[in-house]
Amino acid sequence: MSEAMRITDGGSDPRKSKEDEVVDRISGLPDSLLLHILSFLPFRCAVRASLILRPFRGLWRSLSSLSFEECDFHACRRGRSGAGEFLNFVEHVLALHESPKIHTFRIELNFHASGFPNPEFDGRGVMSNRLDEWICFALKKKVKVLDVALGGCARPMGAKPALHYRVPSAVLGSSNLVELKLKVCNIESLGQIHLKSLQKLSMFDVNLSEEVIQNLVSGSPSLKKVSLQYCHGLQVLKFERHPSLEELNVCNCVDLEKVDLASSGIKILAVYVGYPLSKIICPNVMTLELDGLQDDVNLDCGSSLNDVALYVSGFGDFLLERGVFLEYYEFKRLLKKLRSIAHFTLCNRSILVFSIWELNNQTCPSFNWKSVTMTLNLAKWHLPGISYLLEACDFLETLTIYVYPSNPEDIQRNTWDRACNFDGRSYWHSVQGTFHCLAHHLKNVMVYACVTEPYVIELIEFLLGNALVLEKMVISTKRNSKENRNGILYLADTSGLEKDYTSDMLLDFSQKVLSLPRISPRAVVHMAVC
Amino acid sequence: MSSSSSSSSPSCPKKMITLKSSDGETFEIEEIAALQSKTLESMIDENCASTPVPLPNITGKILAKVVEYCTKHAEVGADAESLRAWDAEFVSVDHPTLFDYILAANFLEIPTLLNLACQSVADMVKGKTPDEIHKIFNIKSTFTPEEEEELRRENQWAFD
Repeated sequence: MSEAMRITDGGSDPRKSKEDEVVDRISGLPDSLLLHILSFLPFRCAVRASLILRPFRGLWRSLSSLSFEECDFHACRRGRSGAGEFLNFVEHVLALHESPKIHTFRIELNFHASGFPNPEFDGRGVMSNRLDEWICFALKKKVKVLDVALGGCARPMGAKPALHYRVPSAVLGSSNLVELKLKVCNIESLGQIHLKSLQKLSMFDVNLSEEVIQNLVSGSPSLKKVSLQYCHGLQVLKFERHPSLEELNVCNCVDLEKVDLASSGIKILAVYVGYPLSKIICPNVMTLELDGLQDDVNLDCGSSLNDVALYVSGFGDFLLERGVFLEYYEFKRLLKKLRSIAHFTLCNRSILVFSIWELNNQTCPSFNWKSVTMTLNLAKWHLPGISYLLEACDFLETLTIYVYPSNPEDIQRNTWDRACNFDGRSYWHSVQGTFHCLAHHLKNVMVYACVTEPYVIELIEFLLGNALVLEKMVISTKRNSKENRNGILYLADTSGLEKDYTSDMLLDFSQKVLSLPRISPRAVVHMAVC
Repeated sequence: MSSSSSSSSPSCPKKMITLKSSDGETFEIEEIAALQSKTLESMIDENCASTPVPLPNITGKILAKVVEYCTKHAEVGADAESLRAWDAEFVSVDHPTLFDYILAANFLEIPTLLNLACQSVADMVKGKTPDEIHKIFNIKSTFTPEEEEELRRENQWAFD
């Protein structure tokens, strides 16, 4: 790029011509635009750029998103909280910052490390005072998004919750806060909680109590979403009627036994079910996401529930020592309870459970699911599971599959290989009988992401050749998110494999698909692979 | 995207607006696409957009691209992933053009384009030494090495 510019501006000409000045576009920009560019840099980088690049001089003092991360200042796993340089940086920024208002204030450090190495010195107390000052600064500047993450790079859940930093009560009375994120903190409700603009509340490893949660929610009339992960002190999570609260995410709260949304208008619920959580009452919920599920859970849902996603990250290995698969009776019971949900989302492992049931020739229950979405690290051993699904869902109208490469690190590969002694590519030719949904109901099929992976084209061929009332098939390389609502990764990381799909491969694939025979006269295939 | 009109029924003919660049070229843009620009949106609301809208700060070359951007982003049913890829292509241009996009997006108040172009410039600055940054953008007004050294010393706290 700079070469091209040197040519046009007569590079070897020593005289400073008007051309030279025109080519320097940065210095000509107004401050507001230079500030805007600066706001897209990581905070510390923006401060440095603004200090030594003349066009950006002084502008960092007007940045409205301040972010301080201790990990920028030490080698992780060996550093201590309160590293001098980090504190120095924060103090200087706060002293020199100019704008009267800021939008975001983020601080990330390891609070508990400040208690070391000298136990006689009240390191935590000193750090608490500092944090109080810093948060006070942010509140004075009418901060809208406050993110206090005090775990740093330490092992999560490693510290006693009673010793966490106590969030100052001023935070709980801010009328400007729109989003509050707290990690490794303590909240004690000693005064009035009034957060009139708060829409999103996220807490991770926070020491709470049932009373505090009630007060937080009732004191936040604009609250839309609450997220509680690894929090302490809650046995029962019960929500009453609220003007705006519509979403709740709960993950592994250590003492939690019951979630009761019977009187609440919450519409979206995502729960990672882990011990001791055993009862979920949610008659008004419309969208439900369940993960974990290692133990049985008593689920009390209602007729408004029409969208369910099941992730079974809590299922450990699929087999007992002698190579025999586990039976998953509770999972089957749960699925039967959810038989009439209209939209169902399943992950890798759920389909593997289906494969087990198929390989063990278990009778198929009947589900009334109309639309199913699956995300798979597709391997040969998912195929029986897909077959089981088609068999069970008599009324299936829409099938969506996101395909990702099979997980090479799967330690159970050999076991599955032995259990599935068929050729994956000809699996569908050997499938007996017809599927009710293919004959009468399946209208839409969507196949996304890594569509050129093995077994995809054979599945497409099978569907095109047997879905009598198929109207639309969409094939595209678009991807979906790898995380669910609780931020838990459910896909084996495939980012490194994106380069493998050349346009030649995709073109070849497109041509093959378009030439496959279609049994439904109305079927239209849309290809969007590029 | 803010829009004052709801999407029209398919049978309605598309309402077009004409824009005129600084060098006299005219461009037609659908009203729905023009709503991406807050400046154009308020003109449409006040009915000032019936004759060609003069844009004396924007050349034909850049205006053509801005129209292309707005039209693409007004498309219904585009999925996020492919739009992101299209955006990345859109800003793979030489630096003068990138800065022209910034100025045009600022003038026309198109926040998505402004953010896209500014993020691009920021990405080029990230991780580079001041010398490299000066070279890449051909910045003429710089601090001398002595001045820079002095600044680093005075602001040690930022460079530790």
